[in-house]
Parts: sequence; structure tokens; C-alpha cells
Amino acid sequence: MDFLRPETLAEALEIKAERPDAVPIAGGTDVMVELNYDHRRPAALLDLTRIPELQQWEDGLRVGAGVPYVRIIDELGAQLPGLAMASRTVGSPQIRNRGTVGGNLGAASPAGDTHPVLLASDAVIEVASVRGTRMIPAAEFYLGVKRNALEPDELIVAVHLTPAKGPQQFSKVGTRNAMVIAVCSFAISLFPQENRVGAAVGSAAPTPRRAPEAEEFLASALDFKNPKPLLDSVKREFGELVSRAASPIDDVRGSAAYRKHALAVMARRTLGWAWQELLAKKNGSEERPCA
Amino acid sequence: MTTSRRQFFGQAAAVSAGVALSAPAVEALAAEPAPAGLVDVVFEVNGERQKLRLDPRVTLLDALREQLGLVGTKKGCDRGQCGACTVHVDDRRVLSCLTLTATLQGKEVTTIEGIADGDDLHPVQRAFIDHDGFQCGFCTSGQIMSAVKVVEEREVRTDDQIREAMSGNICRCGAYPNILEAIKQAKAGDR
Amino acid sequence: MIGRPVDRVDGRIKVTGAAPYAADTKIPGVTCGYLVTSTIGRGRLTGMDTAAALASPGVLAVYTPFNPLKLFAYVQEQNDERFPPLQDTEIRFFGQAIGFVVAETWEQARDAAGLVTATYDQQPPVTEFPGRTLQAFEEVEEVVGTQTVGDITFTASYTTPFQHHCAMEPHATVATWNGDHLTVYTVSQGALLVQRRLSETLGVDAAKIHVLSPHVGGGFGGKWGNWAQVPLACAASRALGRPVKAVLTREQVFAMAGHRPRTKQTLAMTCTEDGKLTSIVNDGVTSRGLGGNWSESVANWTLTTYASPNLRVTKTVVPLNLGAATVMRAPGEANGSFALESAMDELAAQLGVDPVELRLRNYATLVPNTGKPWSGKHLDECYRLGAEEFGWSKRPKQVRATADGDWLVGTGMATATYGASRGQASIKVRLHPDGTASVSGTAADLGTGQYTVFAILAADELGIPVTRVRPDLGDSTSPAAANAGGSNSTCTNGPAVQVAAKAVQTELITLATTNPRSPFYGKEVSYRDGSVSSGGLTMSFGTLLTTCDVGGVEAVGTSPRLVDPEHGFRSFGAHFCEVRVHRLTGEPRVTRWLSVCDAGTIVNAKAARSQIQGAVVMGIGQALLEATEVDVSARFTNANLASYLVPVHADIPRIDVRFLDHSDPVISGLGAKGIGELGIVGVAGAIANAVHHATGVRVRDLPITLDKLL
Repeated sequence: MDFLRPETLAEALEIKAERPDAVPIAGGTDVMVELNYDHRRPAALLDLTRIPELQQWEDGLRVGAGVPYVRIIDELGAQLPGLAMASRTVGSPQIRNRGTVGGNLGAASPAGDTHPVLLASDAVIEVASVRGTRMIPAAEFYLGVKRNALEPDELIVAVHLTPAKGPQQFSKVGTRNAMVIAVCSFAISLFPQENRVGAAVGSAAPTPRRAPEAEEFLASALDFKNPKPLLDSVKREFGELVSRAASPIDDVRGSAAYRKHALAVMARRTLGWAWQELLAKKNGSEERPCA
Repeated sequence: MTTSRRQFFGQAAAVSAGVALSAPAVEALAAEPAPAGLVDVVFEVNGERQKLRLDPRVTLLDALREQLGLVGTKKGCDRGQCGACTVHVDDRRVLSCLTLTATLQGKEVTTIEGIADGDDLHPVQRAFIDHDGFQCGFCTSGQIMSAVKVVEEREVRTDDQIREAMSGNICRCGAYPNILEAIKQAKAGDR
Repeated sequence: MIGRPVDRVDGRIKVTGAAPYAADTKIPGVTCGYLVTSTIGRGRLTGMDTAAALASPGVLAVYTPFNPLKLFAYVQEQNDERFPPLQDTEIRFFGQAIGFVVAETWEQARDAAGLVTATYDQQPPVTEFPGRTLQAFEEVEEVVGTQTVGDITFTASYTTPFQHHCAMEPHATVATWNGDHLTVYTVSQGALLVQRRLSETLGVDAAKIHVLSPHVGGGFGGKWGNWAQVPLACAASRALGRPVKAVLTREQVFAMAGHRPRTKQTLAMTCTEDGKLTSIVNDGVTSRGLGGNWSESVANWTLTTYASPNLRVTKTVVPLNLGAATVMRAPGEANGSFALESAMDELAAQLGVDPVELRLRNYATLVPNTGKPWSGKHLDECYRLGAEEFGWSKRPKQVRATADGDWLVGTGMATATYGASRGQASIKVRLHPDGTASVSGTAADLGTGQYTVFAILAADELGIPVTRVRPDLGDSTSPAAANAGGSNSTCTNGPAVQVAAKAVQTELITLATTNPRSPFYGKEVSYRDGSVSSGGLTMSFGTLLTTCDVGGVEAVGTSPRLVDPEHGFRSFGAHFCEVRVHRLTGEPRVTRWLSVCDAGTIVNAKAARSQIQGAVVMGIGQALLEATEVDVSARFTNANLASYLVPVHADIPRIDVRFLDHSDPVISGLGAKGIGELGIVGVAGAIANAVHHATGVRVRDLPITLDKLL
């Protein structure tokens, strides 16, 4: 097996063009498991840890595919609260010190913790090859169980996200209190200026997916200009629509029926929290002139 | 074509090594390029420079145990699910079973063998004895390497925060309540 | 000194990473063995292609049933596999060893193992449980009385899933030969278990087999037996003339190194209107893996727990195409207690009686199934002290009566008891010229604290500090002591340490009075606190040995097996806990715990408390998290530590442990009974009862996962 250590992105892309069978490795938290158990025997490994372009984030935001979760939590919590919340629930602190969003995208596991947030907050995945760069909306990135839209010669370079324009929430149910693969997960992003809502489910279908009907319903039911306390009927209907967007299965971690139920619960609760945050902010800003 | 490209990248690796390393290591690496299928890596372990020529699939865990004789770091699952192999790389706790040694060029690694000051135990090691923070001892190296970082992390304060911060290290003997007390002692800096 | 909290004597080497475990063994020229395992659950191997593996770099040999290493049949039952590996082509379970690849390095062996292919004549594996399998057989274990009538009746069934030990250390064996002498570094709960097994299967005199197992990374029953890597490493090393190291992967540990069987118990109880039990019938069903012979007598816990004039338990065994089921912490009793302790709670609710009160009304002052007196029993004190300390009297009578935000809060309790016995053990104590004493026996310390028990008891008897005692465990050349199993180590080995430490004083006195170089030559002397005295002269044993130029004195002490047909022997305890269940998601969390234990003399209060805590942690796993799933191909589908969930730190609350201070003079002069397994018994029942109190939902099928609580 060859071990290829490019120093620049350009070099990495050249190698990937020539050796599409080379498996990229950054944090290693996904690839190594298969390697150690001989489930995967790649002809070559492509070490991406030495490429500076991948380890940086820039305002805007463009988050390099090699930025570990711990830096998203520590450095981007204010701008990307949803992603930071999801990152906090990934594996263990040791995993978060090494694992990356790029790796999560590369593995494309339906249970990957960051996927619902990326979907709900309109993330765009930047992939590159010697042929050029493609910008793929998260909603078009996940194709099937552990399958994504990457071509064999392409590398995931970065994730583009807009700094949060409104409240974001993430919720995950697990059997264990920590270090646990999600039974199911849910993310919501509110875009008050655009009267828009993003909502997505994880671990509840062959791929992470958005809940478009729930998004549309909520956008029409909520008054972002003059936010009032939420009606229970709105929360219930939203939860119902989120639940309906999922097509879960029974597995070791939980039953399909439980997942449907839990998604509705998580949707209602996260909406409640997000809306509370919006109300508090609104009230805060209205009160300020008086103070 | 393939061969020449591989050589090109092999050299690139050696040149970049010069940034992080002292000259002799670079010379040694550049002087005799690794044979096909092997890869050279120079890094620090517990303050000592190590130069290894190895199969690129060799994990840091196996390199420590099999090549450097540092068997204090344990293999409990070999797939990042138990925490027994926790070490520090560039001052952050990571799982050595999920870290390829070949990616560690110029990095600093600290293992359980490297935290005591001679015969003086690290305060976390002392606290684990004081509070009986282990039984079989197999997860203990990893627990302690994690705990050392948790003790340093100021934002981790409450019992629940410590429990969460230590949840990447499984202890099947169930020493968790005692590990919690050990960490609290070490955080308080008392004995 | 006995009963005080003492730091573990192996603490320093464990916190510095210096304690040697089997896989840490360094032998020059060691080769690596990697197991190839079956990918079907039942059938026959028709062929294997090893050519690619043999041609792979670094490979020294590939052994299969078509090219086997000779191993003789196993003779003794050790709760492990029935047949030595690679000796036949029958596939009894998924993940059975069908090949052993030896190469220069671990990576090379693993690579080559991946190149071995096998063809099978496949049959559908039997996995259904309880199922209508033709092979299931029932036996009546015990009947006391014949009546099953009373005013009140209660009937319910309870099930428990497959579980795995998941000791943190995977099974590892390193073997090396010197001529016809074998040295084996291996995981084990008793060096003699390994020596005996290897002597049988290798056809080698046990005296020529040296087993070393000084530190073991947890056992819980899973390292009592010797699994495939043990004989294979030894036989391959003999064949190749090279040391061989074989370590199971975590997946292989799950498949082939034993599991707790699946069980079902159907309890039928009758009682009077005031809650006096008149009969208990428990029909137990247990799985047995076709890889082994062992199964659980899951209903038998019912025979010894509560007073009832009529008792009947049965056992039905369901063989399945799985690796060997084996002993796992409190075999039979951890599962058995879940049913009866849940049922007692249900019956208490039906009668409107407090659960503690119901247990006191049915308190067994004599052993229920034999009518014999107990050697010592203070369970009533455990209930009363526990209830008081826990604040049980403030518990609402109604279920679902307490909420804290979105969390429903409930409390529950259960009885713990586990059998005690004293076997025979021999221990050697040796006094050295440097003033230290060594204490040796073939015993094992799996994390139990046995090293420290040896040190404390020897120090106490010799009158010297614990720091001057060097315990030496896990070596087959030492005198034969108790293996680590059945909560038997301290109650069996402890008295032997005391006997040996006394005996060595006699040897020392003989030396003092008969050695011409001794200042006590020909005098009357006495021994006290590490020194020999006569008249005004006192000399420490170290100085005396040095003065006499003698390298040491030693004595082997043997404590015989206790044969006492007059008494029943058990340890007892009571668990009290609080759980919270999320109203909307059903997530259950244990938030408070108290265990009160009556286990005779406690030798080391510190490690004993830890051991009970640890057993409670494992019980929390049993109650809420742990279940190994089997698919139609008879494969354990969640055979890893991310999918088979054992408790992590964030799952565990503070755990309070109290020991009652009642020595048991009938079991031994030391008065110690076992505590290794006691702590897990009743835990799942206590949690199920607390979950019911919190939510009103009664879960009779473990584990109690969130989807069952909606």
C-alpha cells in the first residue's frame, strides 16, 4: 500500500486524479476503523493532514474540511451555533479532537451527527478535482446509505455556511448518556429576515434528509415580524410533519415507531427553544431604547 | 510515470520535514529513501526523538507498543470505541488506535510513561491511587491521559461536566465514581 | 489492619502503565497469530484456500481443519468450548475459529488472514428463543412441598437478553517453548485452569507448563475458560519453534469468548392476604451455545431467597448455534434476581404493601429449600439501614407521583444475595533478609484487589507494614490457591494466607533457636511484629536472616475445604435507587444509589467498596443498556463497543456503599464471605421497580430502553 503525503491541495488533487483509488484520510476516525479490521484494504492512503488550506476557516463562512470538531466548538460557536451543538455530541472528546466535518461528509453515514445541521442551515459542500471545483448544496450531497455525490477524483475541500441569522437548535436522542450513535437526531434553523425555516432529520432514513413540508408549514404559521408565543397546535403540527418526513427502520438502537415519536418530540422541543430565543432577543431589542 | 510521481511526493515529504525537525533527521531520511511499501516518520515521544520506518498502516498505538516498547498504552478495541489507547498528540488527547503513525511527522506524542516526573507521580496518577480510580488497570492509562487534560480544561467544572468530558474512556470495572473523585482532587490541587 | 481502607499495592504500576498484561509480553523473535473465523452459523467446512495467504509477505504458516495443529480432546468442563479448535470441520457457530495464520508481524498476519477463503455445506442455524426447538429439554431442579394454593396469586414472565462480559482487555496469549517446556503468558482467572487445559490438549505433562498471568484486564467470568487463541498459540509455537502471540480482536471476543445466555422465567406465586408467600414456582428457560456445554440454572435464585413452604423450579435448556454461553458475573443469579425482585415489587403493589415490608414479612430465617440455619444473615439490618439512609419512608405510595421538570422521578429497591463457600487453598509465605515478606499462590487479581488482600492479611499476621509484603499472584508454579471466580478468592485464600503467615513464624523460630550463628541459639524465643525476642534481645527477621546468612525461610500453609452440611452460606445486601425517566423521550437515567451489604469480614474497605460500586455499574448496564442481538445467520450483529452499549461515565451517578460489620465465624476464622458478584444481584430488579414507580410502566424484558417507556 502506498502512503501519499501531499503538501498542498493542488498536489492532493493531482494525486487523486491519478489514483482515484487512494482513500483520503484526515482525522482518521472513520477510515481507520475499517483499516484496522481489514474491512477495507485501499491500494493507497492519501494523507490530508499536512495541507494547510484544509485546516483553516475563513469569515463568510468557509470551513476547511480538515477543521476538527473541537475547533468548531471552541471557535465557531457564536457564528454556527447549530453546528457547534451537533459537534459537541460527536463521539468522545478524543474523537472530537481529531474528527472533522469533512470526514463526516465523506463517510455519509445516515447517523452522522452534523448532517441534519448542514441540511437545515443550507450548507454548501465545496468539492474539487483537477477538473475544477463544484459547489454542492447539502440537500444534493447525500445519495444513499454511506454514499455521497463525490466523484472518484474529487476531494471534499470545505463547507460553506452563512453565519446564523437566527436561532439554531440541534437535538439527539441516544441510549447512552454520552459516546453514543444517535437513535435519531434533528436540527432546526430559523431565518427570521427571510421568513424561512430549515429542518432536517438524522438517523431516520437511508440518508440524512430535510423535512420540506414541515419547513413550509412552519414558515407560513410563524410571524417572524411580530413573534408571539407559540401555539401548541403549531408545535404539534410541526412535530407531526417532521416525523412524517422520516422513513426509519427498526434496528439495534431503536424501533422505527420510537424514532417517529422521538422526532416529533425533538421537533417540538427544539422549535420551542429556538422560538424562545427569538422572543427573548426581540423583547431585549425592543426594551433597549427604553433602558 | 507512477513511480516518478511517488518519488516526487516522497521527496516533498522529506523537505517539509526540515521545517519541523533538526537537520540530521532530514539528512538521514533524504539519504536513504524508504523502500517501496514503507514510509519514514520522525516524531517525538515523551520528549525523545524517534525515527521509524514502517508499514504505512501501522497505527500510533501499534508503533508505541510493538516498535517503541511503550506498552503502557493499551489496545481495548482498535476502533476508537473504548478510549484505552488515549495519548496526547501536540498536547491534545487523541485515540492512538485511530491515528496513523505516518501522519505524525514532526508531532509531539506523550504517553502514560511520559507524565510522571521521575519517581514523582503526576498529581492525577497520585489521585487515582488515593481514590481507587481503577480496578483491573487496563483502561487506566487512557483514563489518566484523558483526566490530565480534563484537569487542565477550566471550563469543565461541575461533576456532570467532568462525567461528560470523561465519557470517551470506558471502564468495565465501573470505577467511574472514584475516577470522578480523583479528578476533583487533582483539579483542586490538593491531596 | 483488617477492614481499614488500604491503597492498592499494585496501584503505582497500574497508574504508570508498568503493570504487565499478557499482550505486553516482549519476547525476542515473537511472531503474530491471527484467527480466521467462520462466516456461517451452522454447517460443515468443505474446503479452504490458503494459497494466497501462504504467499503473502511474512507468513510462516496457515493452519486449518485441513491442515491442523494436533490438539487432543478437552476433558474437563471449564465453561468454555467443548472442542479444541481446528480439529473438525463442523461449524457450530458464526465466528468459530477455522484457521490460524502466523506471520512475522501483526499487520502481515491480519492481511493474510483476510486472504483465506472457505467453502461450506451450509445449514440453517438455530437461533430462535425460547422457540420450539427439538433439542430443548426440561429438567426439574428442585421441589419443596407440593401445594401451590393461596388467597392471592401472581403470575408473570421476565426475559433477559444475551450479554457480553466486555472486559477491557481482549483475550491474549503469548507462548514460547524451551525444549519440551512451555511458558505461557495469558489472560486467565486462574493459572491452574490454563495449565490443566493445556496439559490435556497438548498432551504435555502439566509440570512442564508454566503459566504466567500476573495482571488481568478484567474477567467477569469471560476469562475462566480457555478460548481458541490459547491452545492455538501454544501448539503453533511448538510447531514453528518460534514464540507466538495471539490476541483476539474485539469482534472475535464477542463471537467466541463466551456470553451470558438468554433467559426467560415464568413466576407463579401465591400468598395469604397479609402477604405471606405460600408457594413460588419458577420455570426457567436458558439458552446454551452449541459451542459449549454451559447453561444457567436461572430459576434457582428463587430457592434460597424468600420463605415459602412450597417451592418448585425447573430448567429448560435451549441449544442455539452460538459460541459457548459461559459464566458472567453472578451467573444465574443476576438474571434470576431480576425476575423475582420485579415480581416481589409487583406483588407488593397488588397487595398495597410497601416493598421493603413485603420482603420482611417473607424473611427467610432458615434456608428456604433446606430448612437449615444460615451461617450468618443480617439482611433485615440491610433493609432497615438502607431504608433509613435512603429516606425510603418519604417515598410516595402512588406511581408517577413525582416530576422534576420533564423528568418523572421514582425509587425502587431489591434484595441482593450470592452464595458463599470456602474451598481448599495453599499459600506460601517467605521471609527475606531485606526485611520483606513475599506471599504467593496461584490466585488471580482481575482488578478485584486480591494482591492487596494478600498483603493486608500477611502484614496483619506477621505484624509488619503492608508496604513490606510483596504478594505474588498468577504464577502456576506457586502453591495451588483459589481461582478468581464464584466470589471465592478472599474467603478461600484469605484463611490460607493467615495459616501460612503463622507457619512461617514457626520456621523462623526454629531457625533462630537452631542456627549456630543466631544470637538466639538454644534459647526460648517469641515472635512479635516482625521480630524475634528473647530476654532483652529483639531482632527483626531481616536482621536475623542476614546474621545467620540464610537466604530466607518459608512455609506453605493450607486451609482445607470447608465441609459443613449443617449451614447455608450466602452474602446478603439491599439496593435502593432513584431513577428519572424523561416524560417525552422515555430516556431513563439512574440518579442515586445506595447498597448496604452483609458479606462477613471486609478485608480492605477501600477496594471492597469499589468492587460493589463496579458491580452496580455493570448492573445498571444490564438494566438499561446491554443486549447482544443475533441475526438470522446466527451472527452477533452488535459485536463492538459502539453498538453493544456498556455504561460510560456520564451514565453513572454517585454510588453509596455501606458494609455491615458482622464477621461470619462459621465460614472461617477470618469470617469473610464473597463480594465480587453480590453487588450486581438485584440491581436490574431495583431499577425496573424504580422505573415502574416513576412512570407506571412495568418492563419485564431487559434492557429497559427508551422505546419501552412511552
